[in-house]
Amino acid sequence: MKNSRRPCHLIQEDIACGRELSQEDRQHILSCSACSETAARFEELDSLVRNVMGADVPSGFADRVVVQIEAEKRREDSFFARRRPFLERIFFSRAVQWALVVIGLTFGLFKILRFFAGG
Amino acid sequence: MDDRLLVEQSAQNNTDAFRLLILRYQRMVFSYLGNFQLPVQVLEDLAQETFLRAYRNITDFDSEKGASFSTWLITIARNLAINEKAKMSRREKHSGGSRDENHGRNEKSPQDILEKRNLYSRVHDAINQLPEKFHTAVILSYFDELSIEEIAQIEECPVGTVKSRVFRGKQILRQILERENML
Repeated sequence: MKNSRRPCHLIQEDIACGRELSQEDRQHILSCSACSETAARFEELDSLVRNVMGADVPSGFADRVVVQIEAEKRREDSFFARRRPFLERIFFSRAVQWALVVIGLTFGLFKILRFFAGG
Repeated sequence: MDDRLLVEQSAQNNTDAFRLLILRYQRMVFSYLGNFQLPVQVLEDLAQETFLRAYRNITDFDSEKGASFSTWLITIARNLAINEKAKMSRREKHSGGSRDENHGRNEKSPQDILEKRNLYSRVHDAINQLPEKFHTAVILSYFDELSIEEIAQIEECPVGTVKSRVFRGKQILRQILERENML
């Protein structure tokens, strides 16, 4: 009769990943020393790691953090958005435009005077 | 998807990528902060602040310098917890030294706390010694709330590859911990 059992390495990978095993796989583990040893070794490792590093996380924690981040981003965006018209008012105001024209003309006049003065 | 890629995307204001980092490391951060014997509400606030600071300063994180994202995150959590403990002890002094009823959920001796923190650091260091592809697989399998199929989809690789990486990664982790006499 052909044995259709899954190979040991596939069962051991499922053990490592903590996946639900079929009845057939569970029975095989009981009778296979390699698989049962692997199961015991991973169980010991998992229990150490989970005991030392595992903790209960309040449900929806990640979503709450993301909501907070997005609220902060919106606040920052609105901060700059509120100031944009102010900056635009400054840079595009008539007074600033006239000031720039006067500075340009003064600079040009200074250059011309220096040229005729023999500099 | 490895941490570096998620960090890069988070630095470009991609909150979905950062959400994946939170899901990946939230358990680790809560567990670490749990070693400081803080009230539950403070613990959650600190965990939240840890991730907020990480997001605000994510452009400062440089994986090229050799530190892993989890180490960087735990350093932020550690600094916040130490500051909070100092604040709490100042408040206790001002209020005449009476301890808040809520204050340690589960009173442990300072020696127990130090031992737990030390154990945490050693396991954390051991995980960080894993080669990158196994490191990601092991982290995802222990701390992420994703199934193997979902991990395979994110990692864009077959389910079998994810499974064999978790298997190999845990084998290497076990060897490291055995060398450290922790198993």
